[in-house]
Formats: sequence, C-alpha cells, structure tokens
Amino acid sequence: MATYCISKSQSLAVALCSIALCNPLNAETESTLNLSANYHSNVPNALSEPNVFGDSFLDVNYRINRFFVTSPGNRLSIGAEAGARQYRHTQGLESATLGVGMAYSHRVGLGPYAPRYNLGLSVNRVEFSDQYRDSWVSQLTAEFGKRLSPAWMLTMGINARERNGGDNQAQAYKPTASGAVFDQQSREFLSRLEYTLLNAHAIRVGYRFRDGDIDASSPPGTPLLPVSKAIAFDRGIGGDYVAYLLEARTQGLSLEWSMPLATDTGLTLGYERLISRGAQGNKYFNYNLRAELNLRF
Amino acid sequence: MSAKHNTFGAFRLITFFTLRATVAIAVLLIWSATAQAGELEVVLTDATGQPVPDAVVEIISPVPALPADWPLTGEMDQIDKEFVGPVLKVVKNSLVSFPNSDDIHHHVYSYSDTKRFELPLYKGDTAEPVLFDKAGVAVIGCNIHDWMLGYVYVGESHLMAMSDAAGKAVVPDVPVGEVRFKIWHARARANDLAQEHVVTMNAEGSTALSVQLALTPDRRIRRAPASGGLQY
Repeated sequence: MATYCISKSQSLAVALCSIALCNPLNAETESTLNLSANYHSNVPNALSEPNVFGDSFLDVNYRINRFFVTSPGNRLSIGAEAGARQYRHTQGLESATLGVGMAYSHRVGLGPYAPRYNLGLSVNRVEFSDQYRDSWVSQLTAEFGKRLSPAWMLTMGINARERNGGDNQAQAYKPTASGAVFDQQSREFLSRLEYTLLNAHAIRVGYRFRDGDIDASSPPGTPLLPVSKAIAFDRGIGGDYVAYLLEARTQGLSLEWSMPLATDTGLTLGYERLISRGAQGNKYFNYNLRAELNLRF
Repeated sequence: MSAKHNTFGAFRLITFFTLRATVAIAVLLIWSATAQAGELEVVLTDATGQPVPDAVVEIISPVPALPADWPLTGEMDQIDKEFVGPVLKVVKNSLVSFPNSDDIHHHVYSYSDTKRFELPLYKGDTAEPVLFDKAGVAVIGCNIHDWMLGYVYVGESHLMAMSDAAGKAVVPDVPVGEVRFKIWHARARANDLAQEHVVTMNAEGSTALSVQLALTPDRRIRRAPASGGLQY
C-alpha cells in the first residue's frame, strides 16, 4: 500500500514539474529563503532522562512558487523546494530535502476579509547522513483562513502525512520484528490566531493535535520496545540507541513573534511545546526554539 | 440725406462705445475675480507634531464653477505590488484609470459606497477607466495582493490640494473672504473628518494656518513575510 502511494506521489511530482516548466499561463513567480537557528530539547524523542538530550541546528530552506491566477479569487500554485539541516553536535541526523508541491486556493468573495480555502499537496524526498532515515514524505493539507480585522487573522486546517522510509530490515533489532520505523502515517488538526501590532509586528499563537505514528530512540531495555510497531538499531543517534515506532497523540502549543525588517524581509522568533502521549500512557516532552529569517524575492 | 447719414453715424458711434464699455467691464470683472483669489496654505501635523502627508484639503464654500477646461481624469498606477500615491484626488465625474505597470496580474476593486467596482485580472493599461460620479472616498484594494491599499478622494469642488511630505497642502485660487474647508486623511478620526474649518482669506494673496489631526493607528495588512502558513 505504502509503495503504491509513493509511486503515485513520484508520478505526481514529475507531472507537477512538467506543468511548471511548460508554463501554459501567465504566472507570478515568488521565491522565499528561510534561514533559521533552532534548538530542540529532545533530539531522540526519548521517554525520560538520562536518554534525553538537546541540540541546536541550522535550517536553510529555499522555495520557489509559480502562481497561476486561474480566475478571480482562484489561484493555483506550483512550486519546488530545497532545504538542508545541520546539527551542532549530533552526528547522523543532518539532512537534505528536495520536493515539489502544489496548492489550490479559493477566496469566497472580494477583499482581505473574504474567507479563503487552500488545498495543498507536497511530496518531499528527505535524505539523512545516516541513510537509515531516508524517506519520502507526502502531505495533503486543507486550510481555512479568515481575516477578522486588520489586526486579527484566524487559520485552521487539517493534514494527512505519510512518510515512507523503506523497510530497513537490515537494521531490524530482532529478525522477527519489523525494521520499518520510518514508515509512518499521521493526521493533524492545526489552528493559528495571529494579532498584528501597530508596528506590524505579529504575535501568533498556534495549537495542533496530531494523531498517528511517532518514532523515538532510546537504549535497549525500554519497556515500550515490546509494544512498538517496529524496532531497529539507530545509526543516526548513535551509541547503543534503538529507534522504535509507536502510535501516539501529540499536542503542540506554539508562540511566535514576527517582525518586519524590510518590505520583503521578516524575522520570526518561535517557541513550541510538544507533548506526545503513547497508547501505553507514556509521555514524550519536547520543546523547540527558533529564530528564523524570512526573505521573499 | 445728410441728416440721415448723421443719424446713422451717431448710432454707429454709440454702438461702438457700448461694445467697448461692455468688454472693459467684462475684463474688469475677470481681473477683479482673479485679484480676489488667493492661496490657502494648510500645514497638517499629528498629535506628536509630525507632518501628515497624503491628506486632502477641500474648499467646500464658496466654490466657483468648475472651469470648462478642468481635466476630469485621474490615474493610479500599480508598481512593485503597491498603488502609487497611494492617494489620488479627483473632482466628481472624473474618469480614473488604474494601469498596471507590474508584469503580473492585479485584480483591482473597491466596495466603498462612493464607488463599487472591480477590474479583474489584468496587466498594462487594458482596464477600462472607472467613472467616479459621487463625492467621497473609495478605498482601493487588490484581490491578489491583500496589502495593496489606495484611496481615491472624490471632491465636490475642484479647489483642493494634497499635503506633501512636510504636511503642507496649498489650495490655489481660493476666493477672498470667509471660506469653509474640510480635511480628509485615511487615518483621521471621525470627528476630524466631520469638522468644517473656517478661515478668512485675506486680499494679500496667501493665507496660512496649521491644523492638528488626531490620527488612528496605522493598522494595514502586513506585506513582510513570516514563517508558517501554507507552504505552496
């Protein structure tokens, strides 16, 4: 099933690129470059001390989109992105991303206060330095946005995400267990409320709820390993860690402060607190700190 | 015969002088009207004393007739995804064009009571001009780029001026005597917009005064990017 989905995704990616290159309509091109310095409090997503450790990393992401305004209020966007992540200490988790995506946006009415609906699909190939986590990631997103006033903006959405990391059977912790720790599926609800201050600084509060697979790593002996859907040696985290897959419900609460630096440049400072609760009642705590420079060309 | 000629000559003489007198009176009246008009200079500042640009000062009384050769046209261009101006003042019944100098589509609209219109998806100068036949202010937007914001101020009178970067608006040809005027700014408070100002234009040619406006906060939709949101 997963193989079939990825095959479809790859076909879609090729089709999207073909459409974008053919450029059958007048299009508006917009590209963005995001550079961020991050701190992740729990890199292995470990259950408890002393297996928890944090690390900082740098992210760079470049995305180019072509917007086709197909009719008043309707816009088709086709784009591609490339990104990279570099950790400060952790070896094996550096990654590079290459992907394509498309979105269709419909505005009901005229003007900034008219509600807008977005439907987006993206397919990314993410390759890690450990090679073990290499995956195809497909995501389907539906969003609703409504500007309530010049200052207030509300966004809500749902997405379905599928990650296919291959079976990794060579890394399986036990010959009888599955090694496909990075074959994951999840669904997510997200919401954001943004308030723009007088100086155009924006404060954004976000909440998301995700139901689906998560991966975690810890040394052998963790009682949860037997109930995991898949277990494999974790070459990315290193040491004697093993990675395991389990179902969990994750809630995230985020706070962002975004300030304009120039007409098409902004700086965003963000904090997100994540709590994942596994089927056995086990909890995983994470937080992320981010300082991100957003440039639009 | 001679008497007849004399009578005819006298009649021609009277007609000639009557005509000359009429022309002279007309010239005198025109000169008088010109001489009895001056410049009204209004310097606008906000509550902190900073100059207020892009405000419109309009004479509402007395208002001379619109000159026959007064241009009833206006233009608000779009460059780099912004309305150029971004305030345009025109007299009622003017045709305003909204050329798009960007190489992308814009979708210009207004749903203000002063003028409701929509110019969907165009480039260059292909959009038809819009007739503004009602006095007031039309807020102009682009349905693709939400941060684009412009204003068309439609005056009843042709006697109006827009304040420059120093906050100075100079209205020419304002009749001497007591004059009423009003001030508009996109961020002016309702009581400032409703207020009629009275000034006595002196005969020296120029009358100046300062007006302080209490502006509302500038809450426009932000253009600068931020993280998050739909990625494509």
